Amino acid sequence: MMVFRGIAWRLLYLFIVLSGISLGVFALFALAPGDPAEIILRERSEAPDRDQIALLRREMGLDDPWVVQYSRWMKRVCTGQWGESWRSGRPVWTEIAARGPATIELALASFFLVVTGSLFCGIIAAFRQNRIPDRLIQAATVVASAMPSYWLGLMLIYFFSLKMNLLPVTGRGSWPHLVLPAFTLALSVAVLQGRVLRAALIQIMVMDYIRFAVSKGLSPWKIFVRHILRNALAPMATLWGISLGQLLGGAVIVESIFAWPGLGRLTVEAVMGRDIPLVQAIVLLMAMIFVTVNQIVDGLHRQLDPKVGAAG
Amino acid sequence: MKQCGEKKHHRKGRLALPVIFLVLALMVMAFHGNAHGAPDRNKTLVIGVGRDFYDGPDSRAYLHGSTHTWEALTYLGDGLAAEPWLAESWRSEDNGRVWIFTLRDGVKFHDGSDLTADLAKASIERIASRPKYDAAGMYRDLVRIETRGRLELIFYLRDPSPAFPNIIAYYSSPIIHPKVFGENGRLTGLTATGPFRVHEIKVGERIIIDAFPDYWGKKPGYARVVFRTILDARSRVVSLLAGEIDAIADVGGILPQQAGEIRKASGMALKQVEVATTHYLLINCRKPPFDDQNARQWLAGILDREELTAALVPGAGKPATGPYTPLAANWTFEPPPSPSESFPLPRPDFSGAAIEFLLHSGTLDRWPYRDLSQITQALLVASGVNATIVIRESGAYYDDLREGRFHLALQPNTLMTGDPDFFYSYYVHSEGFQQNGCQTSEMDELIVAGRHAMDGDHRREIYRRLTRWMAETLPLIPLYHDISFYAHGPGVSVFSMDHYFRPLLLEARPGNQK
Repeated sequence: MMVFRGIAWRLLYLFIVLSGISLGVFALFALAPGDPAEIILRERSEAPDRDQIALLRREMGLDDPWVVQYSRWMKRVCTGQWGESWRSGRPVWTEIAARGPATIELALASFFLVVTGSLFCGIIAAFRQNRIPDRLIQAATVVASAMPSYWLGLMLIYFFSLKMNLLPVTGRGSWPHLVLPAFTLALSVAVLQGRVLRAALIQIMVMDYIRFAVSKGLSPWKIFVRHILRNALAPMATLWGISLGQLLGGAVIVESIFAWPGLGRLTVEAVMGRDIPLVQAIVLLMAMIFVTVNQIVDGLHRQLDPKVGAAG
Repeated sequence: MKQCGEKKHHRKGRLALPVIFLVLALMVMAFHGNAHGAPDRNKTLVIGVGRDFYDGPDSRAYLHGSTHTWEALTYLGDGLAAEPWLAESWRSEDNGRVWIFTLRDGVKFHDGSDLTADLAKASIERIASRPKYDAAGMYRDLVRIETRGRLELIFYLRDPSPAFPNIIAYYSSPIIHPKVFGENGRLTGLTATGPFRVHEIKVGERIIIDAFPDYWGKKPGYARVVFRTILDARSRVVSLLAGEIDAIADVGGILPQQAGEIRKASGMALKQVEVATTHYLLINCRKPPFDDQNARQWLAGILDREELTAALVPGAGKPATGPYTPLAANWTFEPPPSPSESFPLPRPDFSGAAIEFLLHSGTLDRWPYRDLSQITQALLVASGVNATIVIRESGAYYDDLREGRFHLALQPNTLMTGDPDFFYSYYVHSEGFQQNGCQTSEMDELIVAGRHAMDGDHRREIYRRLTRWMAETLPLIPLYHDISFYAHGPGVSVFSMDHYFRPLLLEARPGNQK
């Protein structure tokens, strides 16, 4: 019974969050400059006609007050009709479904690199504290986090595609296509999170219970896995969860450089084109992803740190 | 009991990481598309373009015209004069109020059915009846369309329209089979008559088209063409240099500053074509100081178009002397004396004026508008005028233009009909969407007279007068006419692009063919 009540509360919370977000997006568009009908026709002709714009505004219902427009949209959504993209005329979920797999693919590949990269950097740096590997990783962190992803992407293309002919420049289709964009997205996040992990590990390594474990004669591997890494992973799980949410939101610059047909580009195009039905759907999807990822991270956090579960 | 629970917990913890990684790897594999095998470069041409050629169901033609999947009644050829395409010939009656087009016989749609006047009529009516498909209002004077026999299509117009075959050229009259018309005129697919038909569309990624064996005209040299959307200009060029794509085409496909890099690369062919786009400096005639004609002429005098073009778009622009592209040969007139020849004009009194120079952020990566505005700003500041550059995204830019919240703005415009009325109706006539307050009732009358004058000489005289008026009044300053770069690699022997940025796919040949 308690479980069902908990789920019901979470669903209610999700509904309130999503309604608030959709209202916010609608209000922002109402306040933002630009007439969607004019933008659509200007995309189709450099010299649109005033009467045609007026006609299209009427057809799209843009002459109504925005409260009326919002309630009309809300009513449709409640009946499962999310509407069509104002620009292409395709159902918004078809638009999202066409780009979603590419984004998920890139996000998961990047996330994999973020997790493995941060674990590698963090562990090496912590166990070789203030020695050459730690210094090298520290320098790499500064360099990687200072590099704009646009520049990094182009450099990777230049060396690995043009000069060494090892990997494809652009596009999607095979495993090699995924390497450069995923690496470009992951690098700065992985090294920064590696620093966070390093700090957490160092903090734990000097704790009394670690000294106690050593004096008890536990093997170094057991001490590392059970007592050091396990406790350091709890805060990392939160960071990884946030990263995954961000990666699933799409990466406009990386998608542009590598001609990756993801959600990031679609979102920017929809915002620029004032394609409100599409923007609403994307924003709500992102919100749902963030809320879900946060729930998963919370659960994982409880698993890794029983104190959190007990307190909560 | 507690110890047992802890052990279980530890076991779960140990398993958590490998399980997460395994799930991630499986998910990546599940979402990953199938590998595309390398195409046979003698049969497949891969062209990189900077935008998605997929327009979608709620568009005039589903795919961009450059895909060669659809054809229109007419196209604009040399001199931007209308030339036969699906319409083999045409004639006018009732002093230009009735236009009769005879369609080409033996044309087949991609589904094997014949092109008839009835199908063409339905296709044009779909466009003419919806603002989304007729954004420029090309069919505003259309009363009705009728058919006569199997191949004659008759347009009845409200007023005489001497340029009607130009007006309906290319994007204004794509002929698509009505069987793909869905609800509200939306397209459920593309069945047309072009030399290529759709094989596969991956939105935002690639469009694959195959040669149509029953095409009525010349057979293409390639069995398959792939248009790859590569938004980033640098990535496009690197893809060409790496041999991932065979060619780069379309407007702004290659930026002027990238030309040198391609020229230096071995086996690459860099080409240029003058296109029908002109870049304008719009002047707000409603706002001081440019409500004064002397101020506008002074501004035109300090902008040396020859120098600007040579410095900013070397090889990619032609200084403008007329109001629109000189490709419209029949409507190009001797330039009236430029204000710069009588330079320096006395500087009008600009005391207290703060000039706002409006730019569209979306144009900055494609054309050197930032440099152009900064040079103009420097010239104005050197003349003691305070000038600010304002960069706006599309919605805000169009709002500011419409509401007149600017002094100067930069904008490209393509003469899509090849007819001067297209330009004057938009930029000068008082009903024009982009007129900036310089219009007079006399010029309005002249524009309307030009739009309907059936006598060729009389019409030319009208546009000669309008050109002169433009040069004197300066509601805008045409800066330069665009010359577009395009390129292909060693795998292609013949590849070219026309003045409307269409890659000529029928002429394209692989490297082993001439």
